[in-house]
Amino acid sequence: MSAAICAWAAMVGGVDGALDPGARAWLAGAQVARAELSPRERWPEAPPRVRRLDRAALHALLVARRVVAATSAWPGDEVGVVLGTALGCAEVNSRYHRGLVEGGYDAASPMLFAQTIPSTPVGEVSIAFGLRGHSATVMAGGCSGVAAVAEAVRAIDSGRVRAALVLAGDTFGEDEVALRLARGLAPPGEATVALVLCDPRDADARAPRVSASLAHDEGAPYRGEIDWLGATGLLELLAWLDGEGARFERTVRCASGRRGELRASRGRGS
Amino acid sequence: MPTRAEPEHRGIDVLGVGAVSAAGRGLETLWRATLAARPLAEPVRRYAPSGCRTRRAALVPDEIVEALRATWPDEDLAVALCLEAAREALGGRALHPDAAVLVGTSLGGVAAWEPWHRARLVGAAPPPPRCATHDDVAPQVASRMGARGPALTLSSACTSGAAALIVAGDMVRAGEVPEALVLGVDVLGAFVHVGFDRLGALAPDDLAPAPFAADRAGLWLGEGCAALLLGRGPGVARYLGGASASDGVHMTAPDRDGDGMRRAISAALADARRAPSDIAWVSAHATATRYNDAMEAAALRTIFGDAAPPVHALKPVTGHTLGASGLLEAALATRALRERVRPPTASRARDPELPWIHLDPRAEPMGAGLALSINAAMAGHNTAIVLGAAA
Repeated sequence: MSAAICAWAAMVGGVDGALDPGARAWLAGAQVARAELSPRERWPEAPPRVRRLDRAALHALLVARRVVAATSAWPGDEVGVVLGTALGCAEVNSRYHRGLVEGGYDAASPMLFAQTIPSTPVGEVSIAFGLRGHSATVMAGGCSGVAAVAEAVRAIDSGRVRAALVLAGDTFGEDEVALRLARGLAPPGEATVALVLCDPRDADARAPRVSASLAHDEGAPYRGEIDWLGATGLLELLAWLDGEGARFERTVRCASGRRGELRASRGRGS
Repeated sequence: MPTRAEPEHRGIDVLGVGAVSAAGRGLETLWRATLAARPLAEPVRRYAPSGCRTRRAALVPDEIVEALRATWPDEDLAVALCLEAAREALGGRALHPDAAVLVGTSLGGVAAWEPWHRARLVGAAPPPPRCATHDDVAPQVASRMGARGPALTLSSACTSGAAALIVAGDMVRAGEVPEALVLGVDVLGAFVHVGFDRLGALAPDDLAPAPFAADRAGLWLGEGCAALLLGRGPGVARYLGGASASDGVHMTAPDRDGDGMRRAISAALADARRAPSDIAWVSAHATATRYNDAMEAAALRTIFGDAAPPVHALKPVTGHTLGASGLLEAALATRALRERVRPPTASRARDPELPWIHLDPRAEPMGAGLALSINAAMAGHNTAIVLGAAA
């Protein structure tokens, strides 16, 4: 099983298209890569509701709009949206719960509560761009992005959709960093990646092909300086897509007992 | 488009089923409670839903929670519920070492995270719970079960359990894994109880949830876990197909026309290579909220016309178990198919605007045919599952 890669984009630490750490900040005593983005600056013509979005959904929309034109060859009902995320809505959970704990019932924001589901970015992207086919929000620690690619390839291969917008990424706040540090995990970084995958028969013969898989693994977890969470693995895939290499094979380890594998090649015959 | 397999090759066997709910341990207790059609929700003592219009929720009974904690003292409740439901689904056999473990959950470890976060907000620094994020349940269950295949969390609010079943079905069909243990689980706390009340979704204490009724006023929450073991071989039921589709309309309100649900049902029937006339019984999401029930009714009318199959709603009994609900309802459907019985639904006078919705007030024989289980969620998610009796 494999799918063709039709378009890709990334935003790392708030820097569009760059594969560098971007903005650094201190949270919970650790240096992290975090992006405070202004919807007014990044998307001046965005509908007013975009300005009220949680950061995970905002980042997903900002990256998705750079690749979504590649889905226009298919009706929206035949395009899926698959999100891979390690932390999901954890940052919103903390904000909502802080209100409840500190201010009681009346301070528990219904607007924030409505965003305390990891699939919020999927819903927002679906609404914004009219992509209404199969959707999934998959979580597998640092292997989440790889798992999202695997699910999108599966959906295309089984005929559920003709194409899929794959999103992978995470946002976090002080409480999430504190939790990670208390668990002995590396400081995190915010990155969001978007890929448009389609049936290889619908794609240009030169389009890169990608496949992915996920397995349990009791091996060593990721121990890098910055952990890019759900985007781990796909950031390296994007670096390869921007380069000249003929093949790409990568095993991604995540911190929660899993191993993801990505394989990609240029053109037909992967 | 890929050429799909013929119907006989589409189906996968449900090798075993397990459940833990407010009814107690086991699918049998859930089945009996469903036949009795009495709400299991009671005033909550485990946490404080201060300010809410109802203090009622259908929690797993305290004595079962204590027993599970004694059996698995190192595990948080969500993981313990999964291990208990999995134990029943496996029926004494071992899970295949290359099996996938897929967990559908709306909340994941939030109930265990709440006290940690509350303590942090007052300046304490307690050790974090083992199960603190949405994604902590699946790898812990996989490790306990000795499974080396994919350990994956599917989280799309109230469609999470059904979404996990759909992905697992595709994995087994494609031969990626020999078996898939699918779990749907959620554990309640003040976080979610207050949140649903603040959204105006909870029914008051004195007005039990009444799906598709004219005076329906919302839901009561519940918690629990269901497990379905998918694979090839003699089973207790057949998973024939499933699909999801997005409304693409609104984040918190369903599409009034039910178009997303209609597309999910159509795609699930196509996935199963079946027609609407093959469906004998529908397990609806049926939250007893005004717009959800109207949306589902609209979708069912579009698919089935005015002769929709009888509809069942489990939530008046178990409460709305959020990410677990789709899998608990699928688990119950396997039992209904085995017994060839349509269990009753407790409700009140039907909404006159939805005359094509027929709820059984008492248990009735189920004719030949299949079961359709549908679920919907915030963010515009819709899922549909087609199940059949064991071959």
